[in-house]
Amino acid sequence: MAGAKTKQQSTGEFALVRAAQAGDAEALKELVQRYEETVYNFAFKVCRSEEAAEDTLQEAFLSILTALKSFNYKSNFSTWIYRIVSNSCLMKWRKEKPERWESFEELDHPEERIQDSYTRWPDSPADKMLHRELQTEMDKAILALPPVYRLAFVLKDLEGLKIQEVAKSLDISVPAAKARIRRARLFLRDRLEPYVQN
Amino acid sequence: MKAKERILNICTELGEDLDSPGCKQLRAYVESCPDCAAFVDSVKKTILLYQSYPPKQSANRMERLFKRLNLK
Repeated sequence: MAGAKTKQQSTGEFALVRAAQAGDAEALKELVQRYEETVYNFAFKVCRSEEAAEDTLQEAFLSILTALKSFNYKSNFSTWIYRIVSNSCLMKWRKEKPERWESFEELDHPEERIQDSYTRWPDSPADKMLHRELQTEMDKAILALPPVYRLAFVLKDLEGLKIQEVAKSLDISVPAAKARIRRARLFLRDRLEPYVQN
Repeated sequence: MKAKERILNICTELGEDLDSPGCKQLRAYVESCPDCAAFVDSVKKTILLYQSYPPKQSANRMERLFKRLNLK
Protein backbone atom coordinates (compact mmCIF):
# COMPACT_ATOMS: atom_id res chain seq x y z
CA MET A 1 0.00 0.00 0.00
CA ALA A 2 3.06 2.23 0.29
CA GLY A 3 2.79 5.65 -1.30
CA ALA A 4 0.10 7.19 -3.47
CA LYS A 5 -2.15 5.03 -5.63
CA THR A 6 -2.85 5.64 -9.30
CA LYS A 7 -6.21 7.12 -10.32
CA GLN A 8 -7.28 3.75 -11.75
CA GLN A 9 -6.41 1.92 -8.52
CA SER A 10 -8.35 4.50 -6.51
CA THR A 11 -11.38 4.25 -8.80
CA GLY A 12 -11.59 0.46 -8.41
CA GLU A 13 -11.05 0.72 -4.71
CA PHE A 14 -13.66 3.43 -4.30
CA ALA A 15 -16.22 1.18 -6.03
CA LEU A 16 -15.44 -1.52 -3.50
CA VAL A 17 -15.74 0.94 -0.61
CA ARG A 18 -19.10 2.22 -1.96
CA ALA A 19 -20.41 -1.35 -2.11
CA ALA A 20 -19.20 -2.03 1.43
CA GLN A 21 -20.77 1.19 2.67
CA ALA A 22 -24.05 0.10 1.05
CA GLY A 23 -23.99 -3.13 3.06
CA ASP A 24 -22.46 -5.57 0.57
CA ALA A 25 -20.93 -8.22 2.85
CA GLU A 26 -18.70 -9.65 0.13
CA ALA A 27 -17.26 -6.22 -0.64
CA LEU A 28 -16.60 -5.69 3.05
CA LYS A 29 -14.81 -9.03 3.32
CA GLU A 30 -12.71 -8.20 0.28
CA LEU A 31 -11.72 -4.85 1.78
CA VAL A 32 -10.68 -6.58 5.01
CA GLN A 33 -8.70 -9.22 3.10
CA ARG A 34 -7.06 -6.58 0.93
CA TYR A 35 -5.84 -4.48 3.86
CA GLU A 36 -5.26 -7.11 6.55
CA GLU A 37 -1.60 -7.68 5.77
CA THR A 38 -0.87 -3.97 5.34
CA VAL A 39 -2.47 -3.09 8.66
CA TYR A 40 -0.76 -5.97 10.47
CA ASN A 41 2.68 -5.16 9.02
CA PHE A 42 2.26 -1.49 9.89
CA ALA A 43 1.18 -2.45 13.41
CA PHE A 44 4.15 -4.79 13.80
CA LYS A 45 6.62 -2.11 12.70
CA VAL A 46 5.17 0.19 15.34
CA CYS A 47 4.52 -2.31 18.18
CA ARG A 48 7.47 -4.71 17.56
CA SER A 49 5.69 -7.86 18.73
CA GLU A 50 3.32 -10.32 17.05
CA GLU A 51 0.87 -10.27 19.94
CA ALA A 52 0.66 -6.48 20.16
CA ALA A 53 0.47 -6.18 16.38
CA GLU A 54 -2.43 -8.62 16.15
CA ASP A 55 -4.23 -6.89 18.99
CA THR A 56 -3.78 -3.56 17.18
CA LEU A 57 -4.92 -5.17 13.91
CA GLN A 58 -8.19 -6.29 15.44
CA GLU A 59 -8.86 -3.02 17.27
CA ALA A 60 -8.02 -1.04 14.14
CA PHE A 61 -10.38 -3.04 11.94
CA LEU A 62 -13.18 -2.65 14.47
CA SER A 63 -12.61 1.11 14.21
CA ILE A 64 -12.39 0.93 10.40
CA LEU A 65 -15.70 -0.89 10.13
CA THR A 66 -17.36 1.51 12.56
CA ALA A 67 -16.07 4.56 10.68
CA LEU A 68 -16.42 3.21 7.14
CA LYS A 69 -19.59 5.17 6.39
CA SER A 70 -17.79 8.41 7.22
CA PHE A 71 -15.17 7.90 4.48
CA ASN A 72 -15.83 10.79 2.07
CA TYR A 73 -13.53 9.98 -0.89
CA LYS A 74 -11.49 13.16 -0.39
CA SER A 75 -8.31 11.16 0.22
CA ASN A 76 -6.94 7.80 -0.85
CA PHE A 77 -8.65 5.01 1.05
CA SER A 78 -5.20 3.80 2.09
CA THR A 79 -4.36 7.19 3.66
CA TRP A 80 -7.68 7.06 5.51
CA ILE A 81 -6.85 3.54 6.74
CA TYR A 82 -3.45 4.71 8.02
CA ARG A 83 -5.19 7.55 9.83
CA ILE A 84 -7.63 5.20 11.56
CA VAL A 85 -4.88 2.73 12.51
CA SER A 86 -2.62 5.53 13.80
CA ASN A 87 -5.47 6.91 15.91
CA SER A 88 -6.18 3.43 17.22
CA CYS A 89 -2.53 3.05 18.26
CA LEU A 90 -2.42 6.49 19.84
CA MET A 91 -5.59 5.95 21.87
CA LYS A 92 -4.24 2.64 23.14
CA TRP A 93 -0.91 4.15 24.17
CA ARG A 94 -2.54 7.18 25.76
CA LYS A 95 -4.37 4.82 28.09
CA GLU A 96 -1.34 2.65 28.81
CA LYS A 97 1.49 5.18 29.18
CA PRO A 98 0.19 8.74 29.42
CA GLU A 99 3.50 9.99 30.83
CA ARG A 100 5.31 9.18 27.59
CA TRP A 101 2.80 10.93 25.41
CA GLU A 102 4.29 13.95 23.61
CA SER A 103 7.43 15.40 25.14
CA PHE A 104 10.70 13.56 25.34
CA GLU A 105 13.69 15.54 26.44
CA GLU A 106 16.16 13.47 24.48
CA LEU A 107 14.35 14.38 21.27
CA ASP A 108 13.68 18.04 21.91
CA HIS A 109 17.12 19.44 21.19
CA PRO A 110 18.92 17.07 18.81
CA GLU A 111 21.41 19.76 17.79
CA GLU A 112 22.88 19.57 21.30
CA ARG A 113 23.91 16.00 20.61
CA ILE A 114 26.02 16.75 17.56
CA GLN A 115 29.26 14.85 17.85
CA ASP A 116 32.70 16.25 17.12
CA SER A 117 33.30 13.63 14.46
CA TYR A 118 31.47 10.80 12.74
CA THR A 119 32.81 7.40 11.73
CA ARG A 120 31.46 5.84 8.56
CA TRP A 121 29.15 2.88 9.17
CA PRO A 122 29.88 -0.50 7.48
CA ASP A 123 28.68 -0.67 3.88
CA SER A 124 26.18 -3.48 4.39
CA PRO A 125 24.53 -2.85 7.74
CA ALA A 126 21.61 -5.05 6.71
CA ASP A 127 24.00 -8.04 6.92
CA LYS A 128 24.12 -7.36 10.62
CA MET A 129 20.42 -8.12 10.78
CA LEU A 130 21.53 -11.71 11.11
CA HIS A 131 22.73 -10.83 14.58
CA ARG A 132 19.97 -11.22 17.09
CA GLU A 133 21.51 -8.59 19.33
CA LEU A 134 21.08 -5.87 16.71
CA GLN A 135 17.43 -6.79 16.14
CA THR A 136 16.83 -6.59 19.88
CA GLU A 137 18.46 -3.17 20.04
CA MET A 138 16.45 -1.98 17.03
CA ASP A 139 13.26 -3.01 18.81
CA LYS A 140 14.35 -1.32 22.04
CA ALA A 141 15.34 1.87 20.23
CA ILE A 142 12.11 2.31 18.31
CA LEU A 143 10.01 1.39 21.35
CA ALA A 144 11.86 4.08 23.31
CA LEU A 145 10.47 6.70 20.91
CA PRO A 146 7.23 8.38 22.03
CA PRO A 147 4.35 7.14 19.86
CA VAL A 148 3.92 10.35 17.89
CA TYR A 149 7.54 10.19 16.69
CA ARG A 150 7.45 6.46 16.11
CA LEU A 151 4.34 6.68 13.95
CA ALA A 152 5.80 9.51 11.85
CA PHE A 153 9.02 7.54 11.24
CA VAL A 154 7.21 4.31 10.34
CA LEU A 155 4.72 6.02 8.04
CA LYS A 156 7.38 7.95 6.15
CA ASP A 157 10.46 5.77 6.13
CA LEU A 158 9.03 2.26 6.37
CA GLU A 159 5.61 2.55 4.73
CA GLY A 160 6.79 5.03 2.11
CA LEU A 161 4.06 7.64 2.48
CA LYS A 162 4.59 11.14 1.16
CA ILE A 163 5.16 13.79 3.81
CA GLN A 164 1.71 15.28 3.11
CA GLU A 165 0.13 11.85 3.67
CA VAL A 166 2.06 11.41 6.91
CA ALA A 167 0.78 14.78 8.12
CA LYS A 168 -2.78 13.90 7.12
CA SER A 169 -2.60 10.45 8.74
CA LEU A 170 -1.44 11.95 12.03
CA ASP A 171 -3.65 15.03 11.77
CA ILE A 172 -0.69 17.38 12.14
CA SER A 173 0.92 20.06 9.96
CA VAL A 174 3.57 19.20 7.38
CA PRO A 175 6.29 21.09 9.33
CA ALA A 176 5.34 19.17 12.49
CA ALA A 177 5.52 15.87 10.60
CA LYS A 178 8.95 16.79 9.22
CA ALA A 179 10.23 17.71 12.67
CA ARG A 180 9.04 14.41 14.14
CA ILE A 181 10.62 12.37 11.36
CA ARG A 182 13.88 14.25 11.68
CA ARG A 183 14.06 13.77 15.45
CA ALA A 184 13.10 10.12 15.25
CA ARG A 185 15.76 9.41 12.60
CA LEU A 186 18.49 11.06 14.65
CA PHE A 187 17.41 9.36 17.86
CA LEU A 188 17.41 5.91 16.23
CA ARG A 189 20.72 6.57 14.49
CA ASP A 190 22.39 7.47 17.79
CA ARG A 191 20.90 4.48 19.59
CA LEU A 192 22.04 1.98 16.95
CA GLU A 193 25.51 3.34 16.30
CA PRO A 194 27.38 1.33 18.95
CA TYR A 195 25.82 -1.92 17.73
CA VAL A 196 26.39 -1.28 14.04
CA GLN A 197 29.99 -0.19 14.54
CA ASN A 198 30.85 -3.29 16.55
CA MET B 1 27.44 27.47 11.55
CA LYS B 2 29.37 24.21 11.55
CA ALA B 3 29.18 21.97 8.50
CA LYS B 4 27.60 19.19 10.49
CA GLU B 5 24.92 21.49 11.83
CA ARG B 6 24.15 22.65 8.30
CA ILE B 7 23.65 19.09 7.17
CA LEU B 8 21.56 18.26 10.21
CA ASN B 9 19.42 21.36 9.86
CA ILE B 10 18.97 21.38 6.12
CA CYS B 11 19.04 17.76 5.08
CA THR B 12 17.19 16.06 7.88
CA GLU B 13 14.92 19.06 8.48
CA LEU B 14 13.48 18.35 5.07
CA GLY B 15 11.87 15.34 6.68
CA GLU B 16 11.67 13.89 3.22
CA ASP B 17 13.79 11.42 1.35
CA LEU B 18 17.46 11.89 1.97
CA ASP B 19 17.81 11.77 -1.82
CA SER B 20 15.45 14.72 -2.24
CA PRO B 21 16.57 17.72 -4.38
CA GLY B 22 17.49 19.71 -1.28
CA CYS B 23 19.81 16.98 -0.09
CA LYS B 24 21.26 16.46 -3.54
CA GLN B 25 22.26 20.13 -3.70
CA LEU B 26 24.37 19.54 -0.66
CA ARG B 27 26.05 16.46 -2.05
CA ALA B 28 29.01 18.24 -3.59
CA TYR B 29 29.58 20.03 -0.33
CA VAL B 30 29.13 16.86 1.70
CA GLU B 31 31.66 15.00 -0.42
CA SER B 32 34.27 17.51 0.60
CA CYS B 33 33.42 16.95 4.27
CA PRO B 34 34.04 13.35 5.44
CA ASP B 35 32.23 13.88 8.75
CA CYS B 36 29.13 15.18 6.97
CA ALA B 37 29.14 12.29 4.51
CA ALA B 38 29.51 9.76 7.32
CA PHE B 39 26.66 11.38 9.23
CA VAL B 40 24.21 11.44 6.30
CA ASP B 41 25.25 7.92 5.31
CA SER B 42 24.57 6.65 8.82
CA VAL B 43 21.08 8.16 8.86
CA LYS B 44 20.34 6.47 5.52
CA LYS B 45 21.64 3.16 6.86
CA THR B 46 19.53 3.50 10.00
CA ILE B 47 16.45 3.69 7.80
CA LEU B 48 17.72 0.80 5.66
CA LEU B 49 18.17 -1.38 8.74
CA TYR B 50 14.57 -0.87 9.79
CA GLN B 51 13.37 -1.45 6.23
CA SER B 52 15.30 -4.75 6.20
CA TYR B 53 13.64 -6.00 9.39
CA PRO B 54 10.70 -8.17 8.23
CA PRO B 55 7.54 -8.21 10.36
CA LYS B 56 7.08 -11.55 12.13
CA GLN B 57 3.93 -13.24 10.89
CA SER B 58 1.46 -15.26 12.97
CA ALA B 59 -0.51 -18.23 11.64
CA ASN B 60 -4.30 -18.16 11.09
CA ARG B 61 -4.41 -14.44 11.75
CA MET B 62 -7.07 -13.73 9.13
CA GLU B 63 -9.32 -16.40 10.62
CA ARG B 64 -9.13 -14.77 14.06
CA LEU B 65 -9.75 -11.34 12.57
CA PHE B 66 -12.84 -12.48 10.70
CA LYS B 67 -14.15 -14.07 13.89
CA ARG B 68 -13.58 -10.87 15.87
CA LEU B 69 -15.34 -8.84 13.18
CA ASN B 70 -18.20 -11.33 12.94
CA LEU B 71 -17.51 -11.88 9.25
CA LYS B 72 -18.07 -15.31 7.73
